[in-house]
Amino acid sequence: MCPLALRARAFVFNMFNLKIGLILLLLVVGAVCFVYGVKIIYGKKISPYFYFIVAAVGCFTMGKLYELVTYCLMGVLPNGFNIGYLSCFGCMLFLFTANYGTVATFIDDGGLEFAKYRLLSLPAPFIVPIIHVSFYHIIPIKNSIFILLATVPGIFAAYYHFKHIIFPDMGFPFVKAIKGCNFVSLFFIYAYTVYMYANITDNILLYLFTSVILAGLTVGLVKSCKKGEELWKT
Amino acid sequence: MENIIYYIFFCISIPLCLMLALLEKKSRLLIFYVATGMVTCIISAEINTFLKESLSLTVTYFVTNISPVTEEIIKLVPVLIHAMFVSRKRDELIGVSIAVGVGFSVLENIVYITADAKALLGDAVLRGFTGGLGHGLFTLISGYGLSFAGSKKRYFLPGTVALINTSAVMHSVHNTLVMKNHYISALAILVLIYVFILYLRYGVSTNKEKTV
Repeated sequence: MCPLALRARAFVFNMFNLKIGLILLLLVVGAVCFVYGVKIIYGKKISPYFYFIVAAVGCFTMGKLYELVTYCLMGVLPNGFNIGYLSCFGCMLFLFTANYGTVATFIDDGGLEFAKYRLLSLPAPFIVPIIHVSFYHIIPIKNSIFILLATVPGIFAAYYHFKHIIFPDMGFPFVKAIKGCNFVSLFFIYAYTVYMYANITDNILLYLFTSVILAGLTVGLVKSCKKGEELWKT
Repeated sequence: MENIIYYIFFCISIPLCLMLALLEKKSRLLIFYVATGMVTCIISAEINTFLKESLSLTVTYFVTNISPVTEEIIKLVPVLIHAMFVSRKRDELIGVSIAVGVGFSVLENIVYITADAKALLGDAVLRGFTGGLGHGLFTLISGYGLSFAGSKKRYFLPGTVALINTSAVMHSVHNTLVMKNHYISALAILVLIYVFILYLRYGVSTNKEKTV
């Protein structure tokens, strides 16, 4: 093999190693955060909101384990549908349920007085489709559709996350308790959507960037859960 | 013998069902759901065969990406029915989901071992640990989560779908490792999850008792 080909092969091999290293980083961070999150919330009388946030971290971690095992044993993720999309779908569905199922109706009765917060929150979910539009021409349309479907719950979750960030406390101390967590989750949804594309495009710089941000946001999610839980008690 | 799964199913489930009437309520429930787990195994085997033939996919792709989803959905159906129409008590749901998972894995393991003429005793033991622990744990996670998600209508549906996704991804990781003959790694992951659940069930409650 000529030296150029050898160098190219080494380059690809290093990129592959870097990708596995980053998945491993996300897996370890996710696993530690999940265990820590469970330790914070398990058996305590707090809102199911926190349970769903920790479950989202667990689902995310499982997805990383799947990616790691698949990359190590098969070399590449399957083209088209793979179960990693389900992990993204599950994670975002947990984030959506955290707000929609547990706190949305308590603080907002659908009255006119809160209409401005609902209207102000409308742009937040549109960032997810904007990410899709900016990436869809780079990857095959089949993968693009799967990523879009996997992040659909994220679109709805982003609305509630943003709404509950700007919503006034109005005598509900738990709105204050979940504000930090909602803030981090909102960026987590955006970063996860970009990560899904970076995973397919093999743009290693984008992958590196989104992976490091996702790792930080995962830590932030559990940290804000801890703060929220402390606020909840007081 | 074609469709050996049916022969084995009737051999195990008929005695179980016959004895149901003689058992106490709690034992009856568990034995009933073990038999139901076997039924879910048969249904998912049929659906998987149909999907594999109609979608014309490779075995590796199918086992790692499609069958975990169908199996987890079908295994959760009896647990879901129990949660919706019978009881949403956490302990009961945990028992039911473990019973369904164990019933599923018993039938699946027997079919795999009888189908492989070269299988050794060690293979059966390994299969018992990985398959048994795996299916039991995957369904337990869904059932345990259902006891939380099932407590309110508003998060019942999204919570349940998210739980199916989580257990399907776990199942897929397990299948990928087993497909590539990494039985020990698959077992190690399952044991880690098992120990973690054990800690939550006994360790945390013991600590709470101490602090009280």
